[in-house]
Amino acid sequence: MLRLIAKRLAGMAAIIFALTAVIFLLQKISPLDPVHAMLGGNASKAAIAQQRHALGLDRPILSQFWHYLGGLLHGDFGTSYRTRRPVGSDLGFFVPATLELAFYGLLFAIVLAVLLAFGTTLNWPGARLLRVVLLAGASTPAFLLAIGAIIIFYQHLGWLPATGRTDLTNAPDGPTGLLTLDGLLNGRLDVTVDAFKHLILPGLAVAAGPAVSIGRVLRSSLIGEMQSGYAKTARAKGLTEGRVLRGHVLRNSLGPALSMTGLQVGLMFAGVLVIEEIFSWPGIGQYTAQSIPVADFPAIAGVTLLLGVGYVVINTIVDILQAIADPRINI
Amino acid sequence: MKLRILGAAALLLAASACGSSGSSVAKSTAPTDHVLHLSFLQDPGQPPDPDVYYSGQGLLLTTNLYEGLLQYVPGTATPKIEASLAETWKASPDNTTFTLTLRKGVFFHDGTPFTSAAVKSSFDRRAAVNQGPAYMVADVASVTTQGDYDVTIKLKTPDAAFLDYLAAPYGPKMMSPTAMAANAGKDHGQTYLQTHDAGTGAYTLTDAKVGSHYAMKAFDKWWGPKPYFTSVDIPVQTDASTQQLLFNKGQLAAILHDLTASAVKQYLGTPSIKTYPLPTLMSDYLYLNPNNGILKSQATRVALQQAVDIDQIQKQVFTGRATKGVQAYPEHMMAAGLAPQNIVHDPAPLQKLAASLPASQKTITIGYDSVSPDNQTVANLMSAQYAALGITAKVQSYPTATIFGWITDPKGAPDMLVTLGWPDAAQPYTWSHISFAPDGGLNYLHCSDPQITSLFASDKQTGSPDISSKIGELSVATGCWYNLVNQQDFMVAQPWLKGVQGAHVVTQPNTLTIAGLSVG
Repeated sequence: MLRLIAKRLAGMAAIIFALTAVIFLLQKISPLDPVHAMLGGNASKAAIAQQRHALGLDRPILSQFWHYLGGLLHGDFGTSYRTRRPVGSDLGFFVPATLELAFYGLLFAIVLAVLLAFGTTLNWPGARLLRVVLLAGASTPAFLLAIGAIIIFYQHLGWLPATGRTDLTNAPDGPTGLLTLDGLLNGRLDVTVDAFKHLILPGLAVAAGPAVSIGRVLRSSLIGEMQSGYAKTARAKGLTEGRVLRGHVLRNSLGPALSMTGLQVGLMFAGVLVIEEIFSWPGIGQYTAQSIPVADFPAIAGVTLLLGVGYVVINTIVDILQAIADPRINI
Repeated sequence: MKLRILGAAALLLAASACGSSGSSVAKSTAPTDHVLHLSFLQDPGQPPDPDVYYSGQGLLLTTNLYEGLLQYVPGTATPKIEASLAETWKASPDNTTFTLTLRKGVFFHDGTPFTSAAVKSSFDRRAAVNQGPAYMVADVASVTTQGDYDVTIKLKTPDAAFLDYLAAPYGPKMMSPTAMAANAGKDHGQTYLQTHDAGTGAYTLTDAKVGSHYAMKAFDKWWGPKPYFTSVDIPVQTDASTQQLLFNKGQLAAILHDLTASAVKQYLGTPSIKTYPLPTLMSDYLYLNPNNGILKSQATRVALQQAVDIDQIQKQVFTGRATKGVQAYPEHMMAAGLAPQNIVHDPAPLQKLAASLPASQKTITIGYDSVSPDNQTVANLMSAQYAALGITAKVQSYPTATIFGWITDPKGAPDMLVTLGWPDAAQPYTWSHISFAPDGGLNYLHCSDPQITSLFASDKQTGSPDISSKIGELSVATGCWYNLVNQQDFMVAQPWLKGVQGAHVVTQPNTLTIAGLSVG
């Protein structure tokens, strides 16, 4: 296990190095001029040169590269050209919002996937309807699903809020940045409830696609295992289908579903970026979308590195979980 | 694929059965809690520090938190300077010395009284911070005080636009010397002003969470009449249609900017809300690249300009929110008849030209700023118009930073560019020198004319309308610039929101003076 973690950490370092190198190369060959975009049309050549110097953009690319890598080692992602704040601080504000949305999206996806897999395997009443609804949802582009959900559940039914993380103006700022958790930690149940209400629509919009993918893999895995010899033996001993599934089949069926979950988490982050725009969710999707037109390189690089590292970490966790679920798997 | 289409169709049906957003505007009642609910579409992008902020919608913050020495009269299309924190002002005949008498009884938000000392420290800070708006004080030689309420500003060189800079939304704003000294840090207080303010405006900043939420509350010691709204809530919305849903449900009092063409049409047909096409200095310009292919010929550039059917563009993209450009400068900068832009729609010259060109020269590229959906539509319409005449126009989106990049390196710039712009102040020189000068910051496609360049010095010194007009005429003759349409600030508001027109200043796009708003 330790060997695996060490291998993954080494991979993470290689990814950071490669990503940073690629981003620097792209920045160098791109025709973007973030300094002029920052200072506007009235900026004199002297003012632009001065700003370029202040940002270190007049140094050789290799020098900038090593300086940036050195900063990363000290947790310094540079300063955003747009917000004029340290990128680390910006990420500290935006990342928890995205993480919270992704976490609830994943939670909703797993719950729906399990319901779908169990329901259709055990022929629960209503399982077919759930399957149709989920398939329709998963087949719909995420942005359309999000807009449809807002029109129905906010505009017409008025059941759920449409945008933002909370309507409360005095919500706590910490300690975690995850509002549903911070509400509990600060003894503010109203914050937790309000934040959860705000999470339902974007969370479900994010969850629809992964729920079906995970659910289908889990279902076919369950059905396959239910036909196996040990399941037949369990049935012959008089166990109900439910007990066979829960007691014997489920653990052996989890491997493929966990692999799919790992893949879906990576894809989910891509989906979250679109959903954030529609639900005005102040996460890294919004941060990135606004940074690109003005070539806010430190911000773009910060997000890219974070996502790259996140992807490696999540896949490492999935590998470990797979090994725990099925010790036969050699990692 | 079948399922995907079915899913999309089902949702669209559900949405259409429930009614479109524009046609289902709920009746909204005026708030009794004196809270004004507005929103930003996307984050303002830069901190609400008036020495840093140099963009569009964030003016809602900077112009309500801070005040300058002068201002433009609100509620009128004609830019006219009036008193703000200076009650009287005088310019020397050579436009180098400006004497001002300050308003008494003004307080900064931290309680510090406003005196002449603040003028010097505010000017000094702007120069030290040295961001976008710093150029306005770059020519200041000295700021001297004569007692607490008299100030003299001397310039290194004559500048007829200086009073306009003092009145401009991006102009020098007065900041509390006490607050700035206490919070200077290592960056002249830039970090502090990301989340606080140090102005004298009718409102103070109470929340500034980038990308999420901003808020202001009324300043009880403001020198003007007590504002009706005691606080202003401004969440950041990132999706235009969601923002409209919030407005339609009555959760927003108004939408101040960036409504799409379809939304404008919907709201114009919705009698239960108020629509306001308000005058601005914003214009959509077509830039033509004199360094590329067939556009090196002035006659070709003019033929390309003449082939654009502005009436069609105005009708399809800017219904109810723009007028056809008839002057080389944005509307309201100059008196009618000056700097005429006499480009008459005539597709024949381009058609004739296209017929004579080899196939390899019949393709051009029209670029637009990726942040502007309007200009994408304009570029598409132009492409269709040119196609009918035998010219293939490829439409290409470019990020803002790429467009600015062409100023230093024109390699890769398109043949034509459609982009929105506005001057920092109403004086024509503030537009002409950045647009038409060889080193102008908005001269994206590097067009210049020695005759134009020779006029800038006297234009700056005198501010003579005749010289500005001549520069405009010469710019039209180059075939490099075409003022397509003059855009208005198209705002929508709940019927109970009063004073919108009177709270709008022609030089301040996307914003309102909130102290001028009330309910009724």
